[in-house]
Amino acid sequence: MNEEDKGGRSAPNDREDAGKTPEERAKSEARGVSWLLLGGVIGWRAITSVVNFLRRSNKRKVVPAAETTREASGLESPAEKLLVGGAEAGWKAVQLSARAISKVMEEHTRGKPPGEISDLFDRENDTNLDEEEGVNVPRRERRGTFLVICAMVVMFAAAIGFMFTYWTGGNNLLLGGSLALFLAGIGCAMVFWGQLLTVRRQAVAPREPSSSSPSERAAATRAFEAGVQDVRRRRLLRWMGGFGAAFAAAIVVSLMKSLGFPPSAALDTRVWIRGQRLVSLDKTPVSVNSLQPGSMMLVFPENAVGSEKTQTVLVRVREELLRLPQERKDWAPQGYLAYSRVCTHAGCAVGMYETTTHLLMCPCHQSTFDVLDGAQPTGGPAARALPQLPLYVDGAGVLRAAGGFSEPPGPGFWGMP
Amino acid sequence: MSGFPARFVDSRLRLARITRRALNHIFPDHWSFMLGEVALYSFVILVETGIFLAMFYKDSTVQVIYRGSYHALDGVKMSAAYRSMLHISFDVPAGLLIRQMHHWACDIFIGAIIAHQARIFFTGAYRKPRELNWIVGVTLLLLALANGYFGYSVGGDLLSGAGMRIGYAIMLSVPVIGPWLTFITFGGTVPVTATIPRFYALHIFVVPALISLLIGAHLWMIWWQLHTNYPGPKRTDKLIVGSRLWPSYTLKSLGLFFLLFAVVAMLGGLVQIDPVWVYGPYNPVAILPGAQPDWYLGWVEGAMRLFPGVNFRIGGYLVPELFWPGFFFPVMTFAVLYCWPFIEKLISLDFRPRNVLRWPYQQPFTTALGCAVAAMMVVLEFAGGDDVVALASHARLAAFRELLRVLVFVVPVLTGIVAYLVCVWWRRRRASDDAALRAGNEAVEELTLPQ
Ligand code: HEM
Ligand code: FES
Repeated sequence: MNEEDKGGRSAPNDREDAGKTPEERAKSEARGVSWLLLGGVIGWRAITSVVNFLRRSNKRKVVPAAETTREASGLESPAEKLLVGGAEAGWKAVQLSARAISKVMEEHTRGKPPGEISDLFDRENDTNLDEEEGVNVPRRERRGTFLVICAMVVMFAAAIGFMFTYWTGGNNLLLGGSLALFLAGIGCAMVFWGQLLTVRRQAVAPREPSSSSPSERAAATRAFEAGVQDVRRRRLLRWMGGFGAAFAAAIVVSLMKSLGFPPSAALDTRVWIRGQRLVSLDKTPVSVNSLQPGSMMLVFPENAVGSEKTQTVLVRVREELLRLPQERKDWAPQGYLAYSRVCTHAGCAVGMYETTTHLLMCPCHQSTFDVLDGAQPTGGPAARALPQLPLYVDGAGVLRAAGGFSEPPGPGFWGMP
Repeated sequence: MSGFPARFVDSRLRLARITRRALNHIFPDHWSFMLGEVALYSFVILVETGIFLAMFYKDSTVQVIYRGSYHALDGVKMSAAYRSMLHISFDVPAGLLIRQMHHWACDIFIGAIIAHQARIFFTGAYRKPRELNWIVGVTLLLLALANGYFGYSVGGDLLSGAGMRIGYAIMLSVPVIGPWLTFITFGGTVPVTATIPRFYALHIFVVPALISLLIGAHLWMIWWQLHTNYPGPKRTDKLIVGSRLWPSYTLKSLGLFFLLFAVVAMLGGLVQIDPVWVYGPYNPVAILPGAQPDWYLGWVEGAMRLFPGVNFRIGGYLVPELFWPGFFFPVMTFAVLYCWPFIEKLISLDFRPRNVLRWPYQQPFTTALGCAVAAMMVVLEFAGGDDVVALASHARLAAFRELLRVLVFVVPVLTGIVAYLVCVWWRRRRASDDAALRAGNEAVEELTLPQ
């Protein structure tokens, strides 16, 4: 590129002080620097005093807690109403302009057939749609200028609004609203510029074929093969590559072991051990008098209170209602029944109990389990009963586990017994 | 391009040619091409707001006692992660705004991807030579959904805890490899302290890096292959018609970016989303009725509710009921999505490169199929909130669910039939116009292109 030709044009500064001596130039430079410094100091003072003022006024405003929440939740103050109103109006404007833009674009798409076809590289033959369609360009330009200026005014005002709100510890509503207006101002200005203050042109160009030509392909293949021919002992190389990849995979797979431990022991557990007392969330043991028939409570084994896997639901029903299978006949002393509280469907806490129907319900996908019948599922997506905990009453009248859960608690898995 | 910086760079990198080529790149003008850009720009907003959040978020499940400015939870035991969420929402200046913007941008991101994909599907933009870009796109959708889930999970609130537990149960239900896969992913049975840091690393580093990489590949392919054109004068498989990148497309596209950003800021400021302080900290024994996942996973949730509780064993090994709707169904959905361009080839027997799109009415079968799938997704979304719907309409949940089990098959079939008939009717109405356009364009090609 011939840069010398364009040197004069691209560096107007040089032209301006072309007639000056070096001393003169140095002097004017010094003058410039001192003005700059002065301006900087004054500007800095102005900014700091404004900031200090804002900070002070902010500190003075000690608002009671009730009022702040009112401020944060409602649209009480007129300023906020105004802003929200403004935001809504802005949104309307965005919608309207979007509609207008899409109309313009539609016309653009379906417009007159374009002129000549150019190379993709060249824009010389592009059709000027403005000319072709006889658009009143000066009018459009006036409108565009007006709209761009409006958008820029909104943008500046909103930016100042955002700063002000931020520095005065403003709330979310005002921050979001002013930021949105600022960004919408920029966006609208750009879109107006592109649609109204730019010459509309349409380009047409041939596409390249989607695949390489046969000769290009053959040349690439030849290049590759020439390289292959140059490699000696190709078979050894292939073996090396193969083994390298296999060992890399083996290393990655072994590293995965660090991520977890073998699952079987942690999953295949019955949680409770025979003899453990049932305790409530506040760790008090549960006695035979704790529940009336028809009520429910949350219990844990005494060594693991509050954990997700051990949570157990204890209900008491009238004994004559029980329909437990034969081998579980003595699992429910005095109508006390204990089931795992972890849903067998997807593991949510089965926390709701419907007294009249004797159903436990899971809030996640509404599976229901019949407590009288060993917590068999009666509705919803769960397929397996909640594991039951056999109980007995000790000499002191405290409820204890007579063994572990009938199955491992929680959602199902491949190796589940 | 004669300013000093341009000259400085170009004298070292010889960029003039490629720059000219780029500035002259041709983009078709149609509003539907903005959908992909909306997806792209909402990802940019996600990264920007996410960086701000990462300055304050703590990925730790260490239990702490809350002493902050949200008095309703004063003295409550919670994870450090959840405390940092409250800190961002109540104490960091503009923190709540950015947090809500992040969440809204995520919803818009995924919504825009789906809308974009629908436009690709219903106009046949995935046909040769763009099948690879369809595959990259489906992967992007998958990654976006996964990252939404990870982000949702690291909050440490009750809702995200429930979501994490259900994700755990779904993974656990996979035959043979499920338990190992789950323990490697979650680090043990949930809830474990290891899970949140893992999900956080995936959420802010691994998945966004993959998404960035794939978006790069996606855009490069679009650039290299040039865009498709909607049918119209001079729009043939061998010609591209549109406006140049510089200046009209640049101004329009950047304008779109700022307008989208404005909408996100507006939503973040004015419309509450994911108020974690309402749900409270995660607690394994607490229950939360009416909990729903974010809308973009609602279809899986719906399937989980409608699928009947059938359990069976293979050689003594259990295949739990959750496996079919929770894992098999989404995996099959994505498998079909991945294969769609090739399945379509088998149906249409069209193997030629296609650069002109089809209007939906010009491909009645594909359109009908797409409408049917969309209808099924809508029914499943409804099913995902069926307890809320039943409660609101005083219907019995069990009966309502039975009805949905029928509707989930009937509605798509009916929708597909109606869509097919509408397309055929429309195609007949437009037949002469379309034929004229085709003839005109063949003439243009003959005249302008070297044969
Ligand atoms: C992170 C997600 C995504 C981003 C950021 C993205 C971005 C874009 C952009 C900017 C375009 C050009 C404009 C347009 O045609 O709309 C495009 C085109 C395309 N996208 Fe995507 N996309 C995403 C996901 C997808 C998905 C999920 C699919 C399909 C499964 C897909 C398939 C395509 C195809 C085939 C094209 C070429 C269309 C044509 O030339 O007409 N993309 N994408
Ligand atoms: S987790 Fe209980 S019904 Fe799904």
